[in-house]
Amino acid sequence: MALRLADYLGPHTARAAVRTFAKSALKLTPEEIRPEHVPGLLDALRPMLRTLLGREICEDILAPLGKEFP
Amino acid sequence: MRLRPIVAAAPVVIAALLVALAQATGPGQALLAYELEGTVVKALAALACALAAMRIPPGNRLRHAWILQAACYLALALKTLPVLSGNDLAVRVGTLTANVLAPLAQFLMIRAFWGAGLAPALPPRARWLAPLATFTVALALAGPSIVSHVRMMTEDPSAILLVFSSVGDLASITLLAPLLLIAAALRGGRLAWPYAFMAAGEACWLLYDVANAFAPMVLERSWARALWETLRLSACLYYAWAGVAQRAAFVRHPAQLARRAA
Repeated sequence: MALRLADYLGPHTARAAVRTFAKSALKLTPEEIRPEHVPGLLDALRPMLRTLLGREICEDILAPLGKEFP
Repeated sequence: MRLRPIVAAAPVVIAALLVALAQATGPGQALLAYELEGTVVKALAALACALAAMRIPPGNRLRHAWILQAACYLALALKTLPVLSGNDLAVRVGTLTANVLAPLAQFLMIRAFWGAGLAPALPPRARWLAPLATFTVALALAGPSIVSHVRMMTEDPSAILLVFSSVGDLASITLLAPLLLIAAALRGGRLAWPYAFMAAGEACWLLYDVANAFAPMVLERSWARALWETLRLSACLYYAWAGVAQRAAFVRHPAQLARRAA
């Protein structure tokens, strides 16, 4: 997930974003994230990505991730 | 061949070439050439920022930032047009408009990053040290002119425009630090480029102010002029680059479209 975000946010901020939003939305560390947590994490990342990249690119990134981790 | 360093250094190289070209026209024509080049480069920056804004969907905070940035460079370009450059009040209003809009645009760019829930990779205390350092530099540069403009207001009330203009300068220089921190945090990603070029542009404006204050003391007049014109043109070109980079970041990537369709 961080790898996909890294294209836009850079590797450091992409990892930090996954860590921050996993903690704030799911109360989990990145290591504790299981496939069933992914939809919740994607929902948590959505507002941030929409702000920085707009709705279309945000969904271009998140939709395939949602499919990969159903 | 690595393209990134070439792209990053291109504004300074182009600015230096433009200055050399202006110098080659001879002492009588150089000032006119500088003004013409300055107007063209500012208009180019306004156009690039406007194109960036047009690419960003309505309602997005970044769009507002780029509209303000485009208006800032448009004001700078307009005030150097021959029809306005002779009018002192028009020049002051142009400078004031630019100096108020630029920090507002930078603030919106910074707020977009922080407001999205992201933060530079520094402990919270350290995050305040960098802006504090740039604020100190800004105060040293803009402080004396703010004081002298306030004194001028007793004789010339329109000097209030110069006061606001200098305060805007102070804010712009202070915001250089957060822009740099955000660019460093996003390094390796496409969104780093608009922030990095904007920070480079602001750094050039800061050096321009320093050169304006100190270059005439240590350099011959024509060399001092060449130095600050190089910095002024570089600053405008970096903002043009920033606009192009922001627009490019909002282009939908074919690989992602394919992944989404799969």
